Amino acid sequence: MSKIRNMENLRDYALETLEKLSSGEIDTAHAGVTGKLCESVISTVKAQLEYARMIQEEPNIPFMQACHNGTGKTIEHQPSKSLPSPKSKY
Amino acid sequence: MKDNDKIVENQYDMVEDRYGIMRQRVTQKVVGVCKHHGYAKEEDLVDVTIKKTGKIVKRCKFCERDKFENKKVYTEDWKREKESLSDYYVRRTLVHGTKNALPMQDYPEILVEAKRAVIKLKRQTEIIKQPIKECSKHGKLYREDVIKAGKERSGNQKYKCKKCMKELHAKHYELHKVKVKLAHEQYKNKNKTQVAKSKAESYKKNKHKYLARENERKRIYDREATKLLKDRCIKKLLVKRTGLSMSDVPQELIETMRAVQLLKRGIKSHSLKKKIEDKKNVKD
Repeated sequence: MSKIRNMENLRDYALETLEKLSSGEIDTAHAGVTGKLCESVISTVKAQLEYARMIQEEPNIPFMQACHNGTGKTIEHQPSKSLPSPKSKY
Repeated sequence: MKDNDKIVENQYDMVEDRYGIMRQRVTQKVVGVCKHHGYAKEEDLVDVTIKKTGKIVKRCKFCERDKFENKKVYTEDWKREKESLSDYYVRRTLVHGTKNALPMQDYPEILVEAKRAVIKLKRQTEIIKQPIKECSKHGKLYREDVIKAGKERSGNQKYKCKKCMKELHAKHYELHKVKVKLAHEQYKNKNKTQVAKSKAESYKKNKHKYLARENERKRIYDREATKLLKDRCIKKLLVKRTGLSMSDVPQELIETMRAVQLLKRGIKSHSLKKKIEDKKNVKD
């Protein structure tokens, strides 16, 4: 992968490294480094989100703009349906 | 006692001895002598076992009968006093088993009343500890294992086994499932306030049970969520040690974090496999 400019690109990069690890192209050490790198990128995004929350403004992150303009809840939240909700059983 | 005297006169003839005193003339074989009734044959004696030693001793039949009757009267009187908790009984319990005790009459009335209250309490606790009923299936039943089931004509409370009744109700429910459900629904619609009250009361009583059950369910839910990497689990990871709330996290970030977590797990599993292979090679 040439450049990571997007959240989707980052995800694809992580999944690619996983595939390479399973096929045996990469060592565990190399894969570990990429994992840490991805985590650090995510932590920066988190920090930006927190900052926006503290200012009480909508987050405007260019790294996430290609997906959904960097705002919070553009994509609908889909909770898992396999497990029962807490109130349904009792 | 006059009847006994007559029997003695009939059995033995009275004869004047050389000193001029009237004595019994022994006509038949005599086995023993009674203090009150004179000579006794085998027919007049009874076998009696002594409590301490366990020996069997022959004693006069008429004396033993008198003793037994006296004992009966004494025990009946004592029972009556025990039940009514008379002053004599309470004072005797105060004196019994104490060294250098005062005479019974010297104890003050306040102390006697206090002792009486203590005895009453003890009796009530003993009644509670005793089993109420015996079930053929489940043995002795105490207050917890029993349901109230009406009253007798005399006014005493009747009881039934709780487990047996549960089994019976379960059988009935299986046979008439539709009927029972309909009846329940009708009752709920008619008495809404009463049902709500009873529910609230039962929740208050068994709150700790409900909470424990819910905690277990939550634990199972969380374990499964971590296995499958559900949204909830990843959101928790992202929110940890930050000022963010769960709703602030965008879906795209969750999916990338999921990919990273998958990578981490892959690395862990590969490293474990390598370690195991290395160990095997060392052994070979």
